Amino acid sequence: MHSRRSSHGVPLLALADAPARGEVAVTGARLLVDAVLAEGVEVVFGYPGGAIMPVYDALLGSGLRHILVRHEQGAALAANGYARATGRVGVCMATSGPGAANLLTGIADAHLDSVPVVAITGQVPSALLGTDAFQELDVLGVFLPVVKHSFLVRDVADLPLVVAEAFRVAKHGRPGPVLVDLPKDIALQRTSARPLTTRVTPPAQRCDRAQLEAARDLNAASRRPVVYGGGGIGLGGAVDAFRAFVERGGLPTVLTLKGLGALDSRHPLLLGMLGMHGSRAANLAVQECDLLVAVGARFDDRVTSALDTFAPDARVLHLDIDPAEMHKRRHADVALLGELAPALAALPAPNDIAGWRDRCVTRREATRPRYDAPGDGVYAPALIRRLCELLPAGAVVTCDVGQHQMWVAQHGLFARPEHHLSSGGLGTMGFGLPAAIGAQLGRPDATVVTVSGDGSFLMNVQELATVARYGLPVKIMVIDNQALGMVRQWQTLFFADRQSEVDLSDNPDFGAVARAFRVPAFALHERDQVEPTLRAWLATPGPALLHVRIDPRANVWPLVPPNASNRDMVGGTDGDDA
Amino acid sequence: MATTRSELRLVVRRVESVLVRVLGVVVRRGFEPVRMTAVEGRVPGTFELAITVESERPPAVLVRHLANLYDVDQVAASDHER
Repeated sequence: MHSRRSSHGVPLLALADAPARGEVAVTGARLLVDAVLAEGVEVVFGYPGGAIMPVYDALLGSGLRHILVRHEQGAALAANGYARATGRVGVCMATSGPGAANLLTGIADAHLDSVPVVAITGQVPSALLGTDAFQELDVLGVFLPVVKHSFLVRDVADLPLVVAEAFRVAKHGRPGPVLVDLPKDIALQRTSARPLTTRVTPPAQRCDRAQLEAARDLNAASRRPVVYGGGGIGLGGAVDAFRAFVERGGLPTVLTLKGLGALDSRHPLLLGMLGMHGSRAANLAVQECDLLVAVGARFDDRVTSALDTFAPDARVLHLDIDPAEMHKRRHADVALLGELAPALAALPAPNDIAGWRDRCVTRREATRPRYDAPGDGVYAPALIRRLCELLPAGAVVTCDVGQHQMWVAQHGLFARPEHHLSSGGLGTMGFGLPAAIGAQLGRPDATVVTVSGDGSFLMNVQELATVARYGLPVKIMVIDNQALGMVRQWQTLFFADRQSEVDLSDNPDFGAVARAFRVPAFALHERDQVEPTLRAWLATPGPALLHVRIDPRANVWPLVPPNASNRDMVGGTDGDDA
Repeated sequence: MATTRSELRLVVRRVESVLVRVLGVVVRRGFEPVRMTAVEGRVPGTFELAITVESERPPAVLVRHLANLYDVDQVAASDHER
């Protein structure tokens, strides 16, 4: 057996993964690490603990880079951000019980936004399962509603197939998270099994020819078409095909929060984001269209508002890879099921729509937001716009959840979907900073900025330690209105201004917090300081935090009130504030 | 909307937690299971399930969700078949 000693020179207990001389067997833990490496994984995000210690031991010298976060939720969200920024599978790991439970939010976030993530959790030894053992949690059961699939490894010989399947399932078709739960005894057990060396590539899902013909007929009959693009375009690698389709027909286009970047934000055919905080031009075009071409989108309630009033005159052509999305919330007159890119390439564009297109574009120009709000304070929409103008090509912007998230979506400039990472389905406060960590590790040469709010930022503030530990040059903007702004806005508008538990005026000194983590900090409180402060902050080597104080009364406009039609937007005709 | 009763018939692989996984999707998607039988399938390593559900929602969407499950080989409801 190999003899190993601690840094103090004390012989360590011979662990099961120390192979005997001439012995080819490895532990389950080492096999797991090797199998993950065989999938091409370069980095994993995690936090060690009792039941997963064999895996952490196997990591040493394995070549698999581990990023130590400071809370397991940070690991799941960093893997989530890594996957969104790179298109590759993100990997996170944690121990049993509380470690696994802390992953849950980040995995649920990946589930709702269809992000390929593999989560590896340690589990109590097989013999203790079901005995309320220390740090035992029915992880498989707890994660069932939020994963695409999950495995509890019962036999070490199954590990190669389990890991290969976990990665295949996470990536294939509509992506999503997969859980691998590994009991400690399996991790310590010896095996001569090796990672799989061959992979089965599932055949591409092609659209039904008859449905394609029906789609052609639908297109040919339309005089007022609108293309409604969602997150599936980026996830499905269909950005180029989508752009070609839109441009071939000169089609007015609206995008969802997760679809932003599928067309460049400055594209002449883009009318903006649709839905609750969508642009007036986008929402009205959808309400007036006679054909809605939904591409990789799911008729989410934040998009449709009152469903029975959504696009009332439209026939629907729905393109998606997931059969479960067809007819789920809105009947599709034609459902094109399969890979988006070949379907888009095969679709002829409607013709004779110049008048309709001009009407849509003219309205967009007439309702563009203004950035000249009165006063001397920092105006958040203008700040976001200027930030994006200053960022180099290929920059990634992550954000948290709340008012700032909507300002980023409305006023940010994005050339690709993977440049804008936002928690769409779950709406996870605390997403931004760990997602930025993942994005920065996945795209080390890119400028990565996270825009957060004072509420969201404190939800995963501990990850400043991760930023500092690895010297990640993430730029962190905290837009501080000393309130839970979106909740406050809704209480103002829809609860008779009865403000309940939204006051955050006792916020800490964010600059001092950053400096405590060895992250330099800047402050921005006056409008005339926006330009020099943004430039100085962005030019800072390494990580840097920018604390921005804004008017606590600022609201997000336009807004579709609850249970209203998207036609009944409030505000936003000229970008004015409350 | 009136509540309707439908019968689902599935062939699933006999693996860890498959029954919980199937029932979880049924319940989360807005269907109440009122009867369920599971017998060993004619294909070794499978279960054949019959689940009677009630809901105001049409079963076709539920069938597509169930068909997406990794361990589900076949699923049909009334006249809707995978």
